[in-house]
Amino acid sequence: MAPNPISRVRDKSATVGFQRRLEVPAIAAGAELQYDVDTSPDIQALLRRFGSANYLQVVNLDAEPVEVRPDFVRGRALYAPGGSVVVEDDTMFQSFSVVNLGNATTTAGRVKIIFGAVRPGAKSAPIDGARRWY
Amino acid sequence: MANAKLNGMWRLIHMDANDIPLSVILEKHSSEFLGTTGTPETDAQKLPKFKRYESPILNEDEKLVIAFKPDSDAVQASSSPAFVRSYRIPVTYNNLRSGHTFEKTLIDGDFSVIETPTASKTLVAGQWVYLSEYTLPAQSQMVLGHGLQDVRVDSAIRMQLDVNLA
Repeated sequence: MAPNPISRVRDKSATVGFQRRLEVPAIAAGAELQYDVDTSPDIQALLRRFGSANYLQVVNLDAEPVEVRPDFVRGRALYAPGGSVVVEDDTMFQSFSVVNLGNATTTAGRVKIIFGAVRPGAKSAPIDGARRWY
Repeated sequence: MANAKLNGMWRLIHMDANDIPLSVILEKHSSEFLGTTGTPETDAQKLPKFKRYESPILNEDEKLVIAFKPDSDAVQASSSPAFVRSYRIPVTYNNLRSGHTFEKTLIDGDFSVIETPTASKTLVAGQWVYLSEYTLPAQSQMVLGHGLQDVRVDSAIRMQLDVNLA
């Protein structure tokens, strides 16, 4: 059998996972921007296939420090100083928010969030309790 | 500067001990809980009722989190910011050691504060704010709701937030 037959593309895709990159719009100092299943098409796409995400990367090219809160929970936040890259994997979340901790408004597109469900086990798709409710 | 009842969406969230949300237990708009500024509705017949069979089981160390999403921006006062939380959450407890089950009503004093009032901070329209959390003590399980002995009053639930606005 061919190593990657066209009939197995869907199965293969399920084992590779899911990834999205968001370019965060400008956030005023102290303000919070939330992404969840009600507001973000990317989160909707993630949850539809994989139930939850397990990978989060913050690329902060802006001068202002930001904080990313998985599931909006302050106690689980990742702190990303200006000009830094912060990664967390083997985690679990279904929504997140970005908070500007600096004293000035961030520039649109300078803070990027890369998140997804990375490499679920080959035998575990769909992972993390994803359910077909439709 | 005066207190005002905030209108918006209320949510009860089941979180595990690691602060990972497991499920949304309830989502209702403030208009369903009636009440006016400083006067939360006290007539159980008028309040919505929580159906106990809809609740997941919350285990020890897990949390019941109350979240709120305002309908419109609410700017807090620049001095003496204040929240007045008025909760009435019916729950049924199970003591795992004794096996005894009993009904209880959680009020605002039972919850720990997550979001504190902050001078001049805006509660932004359409954004969730985690207001309060209740952590289950050891050797206990809990579900939301009471048995419906009298459907007119049992299991009545209410959440209200008054905020000192600018």
